[in-house]
Amino acid sequence: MKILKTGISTIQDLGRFGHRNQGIPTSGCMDTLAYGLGNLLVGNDEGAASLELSSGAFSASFNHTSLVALTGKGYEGFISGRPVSFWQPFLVKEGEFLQLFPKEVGFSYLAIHGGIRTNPQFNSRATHLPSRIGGLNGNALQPGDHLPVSRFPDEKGQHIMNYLSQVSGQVRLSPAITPDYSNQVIRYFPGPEYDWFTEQSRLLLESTDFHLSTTSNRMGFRLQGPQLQRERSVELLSQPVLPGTMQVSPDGQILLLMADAQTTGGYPRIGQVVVVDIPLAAQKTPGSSIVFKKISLREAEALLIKREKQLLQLKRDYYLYFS
Amino acid sequence: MAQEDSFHIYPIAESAITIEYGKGVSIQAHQKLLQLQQIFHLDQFHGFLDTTITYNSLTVFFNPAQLFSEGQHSPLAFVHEEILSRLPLTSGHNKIPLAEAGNHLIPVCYEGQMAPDLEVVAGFHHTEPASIIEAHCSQDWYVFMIGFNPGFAYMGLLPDSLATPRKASPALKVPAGSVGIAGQQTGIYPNSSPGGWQIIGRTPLSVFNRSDQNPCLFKPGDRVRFTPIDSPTFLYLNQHENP
Repeated sequence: MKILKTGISTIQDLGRFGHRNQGIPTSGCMDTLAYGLGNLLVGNDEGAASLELSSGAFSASFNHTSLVALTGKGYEGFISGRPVSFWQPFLVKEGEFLQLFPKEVGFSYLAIHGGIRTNPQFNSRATHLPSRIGGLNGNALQPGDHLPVSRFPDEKGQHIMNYLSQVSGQVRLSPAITPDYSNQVIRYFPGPEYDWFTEQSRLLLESTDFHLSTTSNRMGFRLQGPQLQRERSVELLSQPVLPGTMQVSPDGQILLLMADAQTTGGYPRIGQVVVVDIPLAAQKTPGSSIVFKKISLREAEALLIKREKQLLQLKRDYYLYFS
Repeated sequence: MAQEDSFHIYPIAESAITIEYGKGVSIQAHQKLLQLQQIFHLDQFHGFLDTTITYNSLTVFFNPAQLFSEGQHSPLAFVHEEILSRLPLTSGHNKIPLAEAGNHLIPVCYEGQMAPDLEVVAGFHHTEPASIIEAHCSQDWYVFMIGFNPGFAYMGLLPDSLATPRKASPALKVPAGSVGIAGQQTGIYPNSSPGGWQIIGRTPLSVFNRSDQNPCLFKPGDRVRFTPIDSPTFLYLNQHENP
């Protein structure tokens, strides 16, 4: 695949583990659900590298017929001028162009059968721009980049490709399984320092709208809302943080950490966004509002199990459909 | 079990459980956490991903989706059990010896613009810059953790005669190699970044190299001794791209 035009686009996967004790962040895709569904649609194993598009127009050419899917939010896609829908697998034929144009703020994923096959660095292909690790030499994509992809589909991929080459061969994910990005409610469970905050602040956390500021990036979202006051003023020894951690900075505002979160942080952690809601939080537009809803960690884990069940079932049904 | 009493175990996410050990911060307690960390990495349970060690805690990261697909209906409960089963291996006759720690001699130039806050630190302690340098180079510092940025080692614990509060407002750009003090900690900035530590010198050595298979000069548990050099020696030894 050759990149002809791009804004900020990076190679991402499920992130980098095994190097946290060297201070190397996990990184990886912002919207794990859209990323995962993209890989499922093109018959990839979990964790195959995809492209994450976050701003600017994008276009790429393909020198052999490729099985591709677009997922996530923010873009609309065209193959050599013909519109193409998100959340469905499609073929881009040899010599055709795939173009994506931004229509709103968000992260879109371009999954390709076999995955992007750049050299992994520290167990992952994910690009961490601040430290220039992963991706292609630690950089975002540039026009002219050639991305290594597999020319030879595996059996699963071949079945999907055969189906799509038929005249009426189309399949699309049901809206029941794709994320509802308009949902304002983000669920969380109390973090280790939840009790450090006054009762009033803990109430405010659940009863007020928070707004996403414009200085948000892949490292974290700065939220604007009521000032959260602490009851305990001792300094926290640096503790581990991860995507979804809700830190409260000294000015009483929430920093919601995202995919490129550092490994440790010294601000108290008032909460942790439940893992199934992180994709929804990640796709929030600057200025838009978030309403936090408290649940228990037990409930959060049950939500995760429920989603994994759905995904396993979907995977089974999807591949069965083509075989 | 008396053993488990001194460990405080609590989940911080669906995919991470923290084990806190002891009260306050000590090298002895940290060695216990290092031992535990080594056990997790050598004897990995299903779904294990990584650990993060800090001053007083070790956090275990795992993949709950993988554990569920392998039949675990509460990945958190499963990992909690895995943690409990490994705690006895940190003491008594079950104890596994710790991997060898590194000893590093790090040259530092404590002169001029490489030490913008040296006077402030000396002033805070009502002493001369020379005695701050002497104290900073007089003993080994212990590496407790690496975090904040890739390769940033948190070392300590500084005696009261060196411990100095952070700056009221962070410097916008701290050059790579800068050696700083914040409270009872001392550390080296691996790359240029904003930072709030009091900068008392700069090392010509690169402490993090992303192109290396083993990118970090230090690891938790290592010991570091600083030694003063002059600025011509700094330039001669300099490994940073933009001095």
